[in-house]
Amino acid sequence: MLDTGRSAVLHALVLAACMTVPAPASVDEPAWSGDVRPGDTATDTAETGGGDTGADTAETGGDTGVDSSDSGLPDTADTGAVDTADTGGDTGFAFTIVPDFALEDLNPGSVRYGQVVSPRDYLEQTSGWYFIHAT
Amino acid sequence: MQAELHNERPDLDISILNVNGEGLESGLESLFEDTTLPVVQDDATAQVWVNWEATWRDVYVLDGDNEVYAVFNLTSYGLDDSANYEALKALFVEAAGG
Repeated sequence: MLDTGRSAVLHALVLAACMTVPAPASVDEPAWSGDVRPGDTATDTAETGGGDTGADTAETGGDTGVDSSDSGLPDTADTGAVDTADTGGDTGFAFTIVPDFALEDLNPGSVRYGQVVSPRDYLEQTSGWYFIHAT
Repeated sequence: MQAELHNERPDLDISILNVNGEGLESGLESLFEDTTLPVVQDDATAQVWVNWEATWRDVYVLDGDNEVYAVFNLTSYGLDDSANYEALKALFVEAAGG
């Protein structure tokens, strides 16, 4: 009789222990999945492409929209690492092939006068393109 | 600068050209008096300024793959300052791998 009672108590304790273990994980998951992941993924991708300003703006908007379901748990996954890495040094145009065009050289004093000029004429060379307002 | 680059680094193939803003054709004649570099006139079809996202007095330095190596704005970094002048020259040389 006593053994049966101890067994029942132990059984209950084991069951209680088993039932309490998964609980924190199930609480955490909604907080992470709803709050952080979509925004961070989009931000990282955009920033790699050089669109710093756009990425930061998108992140702010994304977080605001999703945080209403925040359980109040510490949002430790949203460390701000993406924002702090944005030093402003990303010009957004580095190593980007410029769009082509074809326009005539109008300068009578130029060696290319009358020829159609394209940036592609300067492949395998270095070229400088000065954007001027002739006045 | 074009002549200097050619004389100082004849081993590097560096060319500088001008892209005049759309609608500013009336100023071309006076521009021709100041330069022997090629001058192209942007227009509504080519839309070079728009497509390159250029601003007034930008110098786009392209490498041999037609990729933007640097953009140097002469309003922000006027060539009257010798340091800026040398910096732009250095960009051309670096872009050419020199």
